[in-house]
Amino acid sequence: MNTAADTDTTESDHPPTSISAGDATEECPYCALDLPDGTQYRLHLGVEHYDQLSDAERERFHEAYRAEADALDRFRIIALGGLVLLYFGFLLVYALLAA
Amino acid sequence: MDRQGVAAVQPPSLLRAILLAVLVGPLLAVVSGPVLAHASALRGSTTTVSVPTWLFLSTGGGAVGASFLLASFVTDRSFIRSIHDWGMRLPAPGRVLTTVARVVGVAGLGVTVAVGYLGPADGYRNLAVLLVWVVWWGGYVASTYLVGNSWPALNPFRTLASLGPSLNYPYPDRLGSWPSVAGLLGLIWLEVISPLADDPRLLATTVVAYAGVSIAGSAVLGTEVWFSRVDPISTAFRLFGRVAPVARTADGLTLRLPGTALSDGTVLAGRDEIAFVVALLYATTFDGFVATGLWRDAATAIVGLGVPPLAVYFLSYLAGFGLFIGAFWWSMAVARRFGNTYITRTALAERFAPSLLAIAAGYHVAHYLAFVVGLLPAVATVAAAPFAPPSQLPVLTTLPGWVSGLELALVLLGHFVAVWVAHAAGYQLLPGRLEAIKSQYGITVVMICYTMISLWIVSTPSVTPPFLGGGGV
Repeated sequence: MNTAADTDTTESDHPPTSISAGDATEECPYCALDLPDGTQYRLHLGVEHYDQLSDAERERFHEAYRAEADALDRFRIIALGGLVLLYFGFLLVYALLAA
Repeated sequence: MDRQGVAAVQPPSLLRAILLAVLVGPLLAVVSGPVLAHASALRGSTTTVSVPTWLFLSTGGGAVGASFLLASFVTDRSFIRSIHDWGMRLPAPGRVLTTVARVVGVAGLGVTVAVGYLGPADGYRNLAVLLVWVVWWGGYVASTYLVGNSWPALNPFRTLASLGPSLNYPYPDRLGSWPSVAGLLGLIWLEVISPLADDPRLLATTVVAYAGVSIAGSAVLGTEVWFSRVDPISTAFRLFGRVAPVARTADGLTLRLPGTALSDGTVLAGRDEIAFVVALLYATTFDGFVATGLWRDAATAIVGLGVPPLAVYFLSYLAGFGLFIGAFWWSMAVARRFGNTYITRTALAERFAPSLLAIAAGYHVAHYLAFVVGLLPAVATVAAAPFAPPSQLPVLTTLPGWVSGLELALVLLGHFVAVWVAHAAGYQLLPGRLEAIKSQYGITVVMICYTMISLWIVSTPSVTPPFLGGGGV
């Protein structure tokens, strides 16, 4: 599905990056985007260039994606807690003021 | 671009996201409910605030924060993309319609200048003042973000400028759109410090000067370059038009969901245009801020120390703009750090700044809806006899309560769209879903602060700006 022309567009499309000395960088072999660490790099490959990946690379992407899903679940619990806190916090304050 | 990889390992997260949105949606409705119930505080300086100001402000901030938290539950890339890609083609407006728009634009300009000079000298009895501030700046501007940007066709300055020849002198590219940023800041400055809103003669002179500068500039640089790079009004309307559902493209009109065009990635290019968006947002804030008691007291105190009043205004104006730029730039540093990315701050800002346009549109409605509706009968009466208007003009002073409710709902809607656009920008730029959410921390804080400042300004009793001798809408 991804033709060479597609890859070319991606290459010119990716936003400019800047790296300071000492940063650990990995460059995407398909679109030359600089990415910080292993996880971001593997996720980028899977999200943007899934068709071009080898089976091993796909497996690494799925692994990173699953690990991220766990982190995302933890974040959602905190976010839901935040919403509940906001809701009951305001409810309480308004109830106190109305009294 | 390939989505299969994501789809392959995606649990039914779309379903989960919708379910969660349905479950927690009412929370948000309740959080924002008190604001709606309290909308009367927006209406004027005389209404007493029934809840303490701090609670009113933190409820507004809380609603923005809650919408960020809610948006963070939507992490399905293809779902986000499908919302932003939805659209359909509409038939293009014919040449006749475009010509009619041009004629209407030029006729409006002619009437404004003629009546401005020859009509009655007092502000709201002069059709020029009503045309510029009520019909154009209040009503027409709203159409650019609610419907679509029709200014390129209507713009009388452009129609007049395109009649003459042009030298097509090459535009220095290093200037970018900075002249339009300076132009916008200059126009707002003029509007705040001069009685442009009350004095029809001054207004007519300003309009003539604006036309003269536009025609001269187009003659040197070419109409296209002038109105896309230098002219602040065209740039502002072009950007407001990105909030609107209807857009003019090369092959006709397209219809999209309101605000979704803001995440296209082609809205802004470079720091100059980012600064323009921030200036657009800052305009309303400064205009309102100089009419607060806090500013009156501070300015009076500083002028008491011997500083010239105009210098106090000017330095505060620039300092405030610097503060806004600084806050936004800081939020992009946060996006870079928490988003765990090497993408430059400017590139991040190009994608996040368009979200601010939805907020600017929301506040424009809040400022002008009741103003325009209230003065429409006056506009009709004065338009019937522009040179001899009656001394008592019909004005709707008591509008139904739902008008201010609608105003507040639109302010909130602007914020929700902004939060969503920032969310979509995070997902377009960053490979990690969690990083995409975390990249919005900074801009969410900035939006919450901006909401609270703006709500404070609109709910604070407004006073006449000191040392200016009236003026300002």
